[in-house]
Amino acid sequence: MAKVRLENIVKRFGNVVAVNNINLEIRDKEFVVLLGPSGCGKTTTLRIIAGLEYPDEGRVYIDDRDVTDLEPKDRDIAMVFQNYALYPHMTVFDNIAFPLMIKRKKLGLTKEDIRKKVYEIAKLLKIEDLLKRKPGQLSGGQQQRVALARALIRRPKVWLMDEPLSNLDALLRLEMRAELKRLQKRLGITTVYVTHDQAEALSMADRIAVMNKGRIVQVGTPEEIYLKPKHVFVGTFIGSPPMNIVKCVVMVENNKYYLDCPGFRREIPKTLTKIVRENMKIILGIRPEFVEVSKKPLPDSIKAKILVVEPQGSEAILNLDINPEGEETLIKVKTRVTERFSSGEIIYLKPDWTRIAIFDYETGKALE
Amino acid sequence: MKRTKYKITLLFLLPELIFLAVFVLTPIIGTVVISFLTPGGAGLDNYYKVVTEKSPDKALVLPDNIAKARPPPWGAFIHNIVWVAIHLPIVVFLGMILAYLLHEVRGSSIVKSIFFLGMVIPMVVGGLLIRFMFDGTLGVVPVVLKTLGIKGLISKTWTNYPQTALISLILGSVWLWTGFSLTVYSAAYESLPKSYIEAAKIDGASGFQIFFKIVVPLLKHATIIVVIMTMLWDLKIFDIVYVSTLGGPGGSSNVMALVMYLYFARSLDYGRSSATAVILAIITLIPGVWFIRRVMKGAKTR
Amino acid sequence: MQRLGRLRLGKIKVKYLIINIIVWFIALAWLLPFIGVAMVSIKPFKEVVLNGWWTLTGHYTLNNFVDAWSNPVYSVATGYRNSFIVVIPSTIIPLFIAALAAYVFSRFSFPLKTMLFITLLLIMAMPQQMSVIPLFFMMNRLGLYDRLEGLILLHSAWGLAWITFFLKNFFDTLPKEVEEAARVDGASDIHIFFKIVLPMTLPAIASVAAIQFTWVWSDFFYALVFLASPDKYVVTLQVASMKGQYHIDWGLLSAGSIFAMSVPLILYALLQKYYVRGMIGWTVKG
Repeated sequence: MAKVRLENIVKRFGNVVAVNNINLEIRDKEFVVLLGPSGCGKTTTLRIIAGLEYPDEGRVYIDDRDVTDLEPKDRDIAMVFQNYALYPHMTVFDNIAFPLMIKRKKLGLTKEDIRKKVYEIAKLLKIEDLLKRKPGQLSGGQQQRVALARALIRRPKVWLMDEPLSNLDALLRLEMRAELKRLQKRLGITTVYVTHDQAEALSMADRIAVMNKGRIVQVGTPEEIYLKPKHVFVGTFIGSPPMNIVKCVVMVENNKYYLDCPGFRREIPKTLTKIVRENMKIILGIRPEFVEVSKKPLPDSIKAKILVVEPQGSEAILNLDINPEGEETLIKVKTRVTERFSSGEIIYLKPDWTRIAIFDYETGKALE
Repeated sequence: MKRTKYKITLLFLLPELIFLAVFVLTPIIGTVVISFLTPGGAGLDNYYKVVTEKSPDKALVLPDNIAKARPPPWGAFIHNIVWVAIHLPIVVFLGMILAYLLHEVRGSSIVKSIFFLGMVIPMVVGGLLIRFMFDGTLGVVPVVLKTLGIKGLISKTWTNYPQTALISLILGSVWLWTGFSLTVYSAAYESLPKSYIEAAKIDGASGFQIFFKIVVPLLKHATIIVVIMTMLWDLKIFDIVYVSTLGGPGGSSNVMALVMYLYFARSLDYGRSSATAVILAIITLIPGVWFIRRVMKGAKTR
Repeated sequence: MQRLGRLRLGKIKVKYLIINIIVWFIALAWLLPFIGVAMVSIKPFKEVVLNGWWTLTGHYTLNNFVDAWSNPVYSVATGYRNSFIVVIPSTIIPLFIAALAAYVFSRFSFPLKTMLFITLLLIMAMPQQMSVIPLFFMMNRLGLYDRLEGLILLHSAWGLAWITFFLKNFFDTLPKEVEEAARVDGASDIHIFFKIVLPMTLPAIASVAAIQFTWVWSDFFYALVFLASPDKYVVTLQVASMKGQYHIDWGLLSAGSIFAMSVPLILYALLQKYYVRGMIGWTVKG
């Protein structure tokens, strides 16, 4: 039972503003991912929630209690670190027991109670066999589990994770993703999870907060983040390959609004005509997977020249120039492999216009 | 959060600060103060007397018995400079080249240990061993020279003659201190990515070229450390001189640290003794400040 | 060189062979004084003077060692006792005090931190000569002149600077996350230091202890200034005093030297890894 609320958090390191006025509300039992490139302030935000950093401005609330001035130990949180931060000189058992041993008197626990709890949690994470070992003798995945066990044993109000999977190899990472998510849902612990890996964020989060340059750019469900980016940054940061960006200009002809783009031209949907002005520069965001590809001309299609084909197994990524006659304009398109494409070939594209995003060139914000 | 940090900081720092203040900083300041005190008041008198002193066992610059033809003896300060001038390049060069060659030598860890012995034994014993090494009847050096048929001073006890006393100590200190340089260099050499050297080999560089064009520049940091530490060691040298020659004969192997001690223990002249100590300290500040600047620069880039 | 590099004797390159021979020749030459002193110490001095220590024939004796150990004036036995009394606390005390300070230097920021740190580095460069005269008066006043306790205090104080520097560098390399994990888990600063940080510091502590032990054992200057009576002499002083101004009994002196250096040598043999790491670590950063 815990909510977390961040109010106007600002953190500076010297002249650098690491976190710039962040507001975020995390609901009870929710799995929220802070996603962003390195240096965007996501880890600092997490450390402020943990109490490892003190914000220069703003307040942190856990369950409506102002914890800004509290030490980490008084916040009833647990944290999993990127490098696991296991105590190298203690056995796995002692590592997991540590949070309880420290507060043993306060919690009124006997050593036997603690032993039971350690075994219980070790069973949950399938590490019963490792309890007598030292962290140095464990594999990365096993260390990961120990770190999770240590973070779970107190049944904290809030679970904080700083890129906990980034030191694992690819296969194990996929496995742990699912397991973590399952564990979190089963135990119902409010979780804040930091990562730079968008696939991880999309697959695990209830909601994602995308951060850039110390600010939260967008908060939303993975679907919202993916399909309705509110900022060109979100579009280009998420997706693999990311959203294609095409710079266009608004034109007015016969009282109709058009987008003049390199290689093609298109009427602007009615809903947007109130927002745009003539000669306004805008950015068209086209996801690589929302484009139909054809070898023959289709009505209303865009002509493109294939530069490179990157086969990906069941699908292929086509690197295209959509303005073969003019200045080179590159986009990437994902397509199911049903036909053979080769570089140099001319093909025709038909984007799904309902799923195209339009951003203001100046501010980068989505136009809706 | 911030508040409790100050408490713990003070608690952890206090014992060290007290110890340093009482037994280190106060005496250092005291020495400076005493160096300015003279029977008539305060001034630079002690410094003037110390620098212009001519008696052979205490002269810093030039003694009155300076040999016309080929000194030593010079003054103790000059001896320290000569020490650095001879000792430093030999130690740097030997350490660097040995570290480079060792990676092709069988039992290189044993070789390293042999050189490192000089760092482990007390300097007093080192001084006695140097005295032994250059002894006319027993010592390694004169005996080898004698069997090679070379006559003259160098086949006698080196430490007994003004012409050879200083150089024998300097060579002996090479024997003691090369282990330091070798250890620093071989650690630095081992931490070099081998790909640099392999790339140079593929590019067709010879062993010499690899050493001078690739290895030496990459070992720059180690070289600076060796140079600084060797200079400090040379300038502070005391033990080996005290036990093997006591600065003699005729002041020909005297050094500043020993002059300071002789003023203090023999003449009971605390003012001049302190003045000598201050001069010595100021000279050691040359490598000292260099060291500090490097450390602080490293701290910033971290 | 190029052509030489390709010459082979069987499977071994000639160049490789030459390098091995040269390096080993130098290494053995380096070892020669030790061998000489060892030989002189186990042979009657008369035979050494007549035939040289390098002859393996003749008599062998342990008399020199017996003489040095129980010399009525300058006995190694007394020297050993005094040295151990001085060295052990002079290793433990500064190690403990400096570990606390080094942790603060590595982890927390506080006013005058940079200035204090530079002071430490300056102290590391200072010659001992810079301190002895005021200390001489101070020790006299405190009644600690010619007392081993006084020497312990001085060695402890003068070991602090380099040990703090060394351990600070070591703490800088420890991952901060482990301490942060402990803080989140509810440990106090003092608890974190003693239960989490210190156990992780054991290798560095071993290095510091080995080197501080050796340096204090090897100290000559402070002992020379602050000890007056032969029954208080530490082993370095005892051995130095065995050497007469004009006549040198090399047999006795060799045995004494071997006694004096054997303790740090044994320590080196046992803790070689920590020793070398320490020697490099206190000069090179990180």
